[in-house]
Parts: sequence; C-alpha cells; structure tokens
Amino acid sequence: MAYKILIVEDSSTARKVIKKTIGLSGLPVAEILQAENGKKALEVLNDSWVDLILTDLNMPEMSGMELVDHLKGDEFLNSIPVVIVSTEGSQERIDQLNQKGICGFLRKPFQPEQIKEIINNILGE
Amino acid sequence: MGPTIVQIEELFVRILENQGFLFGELIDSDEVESGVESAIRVQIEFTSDTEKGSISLIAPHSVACEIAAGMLGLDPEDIEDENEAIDSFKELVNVTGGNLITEAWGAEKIFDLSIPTSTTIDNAEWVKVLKTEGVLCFLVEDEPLLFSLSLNS
Ligand SMILES: [Mg+2]
Repeated sequence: MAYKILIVEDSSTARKVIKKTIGLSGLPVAEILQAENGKKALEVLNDSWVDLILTDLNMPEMSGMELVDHLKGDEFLNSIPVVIVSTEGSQERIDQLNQKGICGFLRKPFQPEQIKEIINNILGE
Repeated sequence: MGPTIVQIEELFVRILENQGFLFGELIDSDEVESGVESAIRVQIEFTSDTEKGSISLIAPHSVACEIAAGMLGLDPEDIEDENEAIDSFKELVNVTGGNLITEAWGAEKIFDLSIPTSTTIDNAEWVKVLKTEGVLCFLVEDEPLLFSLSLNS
C-alpha cells in the first residue's frame, strides 16, 4: 500500500524541502498533497483522504493549532495522524498539542533523518 | 535581557549551515560593503507577556538566492523566481527567530511570532542600518548580511 501525505506550510520553500525529504524516506508514497494554511488544508481534506498530515503552526488565515482543533473535533478526520513541524519552542504549547492528540512534533531546523524516522514510526509496520 | 551576541552568532551560523548549507561568520561592520545598491529586508515580530521585539535580516538579493539554492539543493543561478528567493529568506528568518527566542528566554515562556514580512531597501537605508548601533554583520558566502534585533519591552 502506498501512502497519501498532506503537507500544510505557508512557506513554499519549506514545503519543497519536506516533500523532498519524504521522497527520500523510502516509504511507499502514492501522492503528496500541499496546502499553504489550515483553511486550505481543510479544503483539501474535503476532497481527499490522506494517511498523514505534517503541519506548521504559525500560518496566516488558519494556524496549525486551529487546524488540529478542527481535525480533532471532526468525527471522520480525527483519526488522521498529525505531526507538527515548527519552530515552536514553548513547552506549554507542545504539551497543549500533545493533549490534543498529535502524533509527533519536529522542531525546525530538522535533519532529513528525523522526518524519515517520525513518518516511518507512524506509517511503517 | 535579550539574547547575547554569542548566542545570536552561534545560532544563526548553525541554522545557516543546517538549513542552507552555507558558511557564515560574524565580521566587523567596517568590513562590510556600503555600496550595496538594494537589499531585501525580512522582519519577524515576537511578543510574550513581558517581551516585545523584532528581528530583521537584511541582505542583497544575491544572498537570498544563495539561501534559496542551499535550502532547495539547487545552484544559485537556477533561482530565477524572485519570490522563491524571498520565500526562502523568510523561512530562514522564521527558523532563526523561533529558535533565538527560546534560546534567549527559555522553553517555559510562551511567545507569539508574526508571519515574516519582506521589503526592498535602497542604498541609503542599507547604510543607515549598517551604521546603527547593535546591528550585527555577517559574511555569508563572501557577501554581507545584517542582523538587527530590537527590543521594546
Ligand atoms: Mg511556515
């Protein structure tokens, strides 16, 4: 089975870097979808099912925190694993996100191996 | 108390290397080219219950192209889209800002960070920033980059 992954990030550069890293992860990936903020991500999720969401926090229109709230409050979308990829350094915010049920947190700048490890842990056997 | 010069230097050089595969070093402002015709200024603002300030990084367009190329694994000549160079520069400032505030004030403190914004500045503005007290000057792949932190808490 090949996975569908959604990258939610306002920086096109960061999206490309994450996409490239996933490509090198060795995971069978069918498709990588992209959205530039939480609102756009929900639009994407309206049309497509994904196996994993990687999201930034600090984005215009709808932040990653708000996106997580939307996902966790939705009876269909709440089972999609969410990994945060952000510069956030506040332990209280990270704790809040963990309580909301995120599957992982990766602090920028990250090494490609870290992103590989996190998605392999969640999606790999 | 904000971050020390050593904290800024170590963190920024590390992020440049990690994210952009670029070599950066802190230099004296006398060594910086004052004839830069135009430059890109990227700014990010941060606020907490007790602190408020901003971080600006200013560099010629060619440096933004170097940053984009490094982050994307391309040659600088391949960065033809101005927006791509600016977006990469913004992301570098975003990562630098986010890490610097935690480094300086600790993980116990909650900060709100703005979305990075960019403007183009002319030579007069470049010279003005260069002469501002407290502005740090870096050499990135032999080109200048100015780092300005302002605190108004
Ligand atoms: Mg972002």
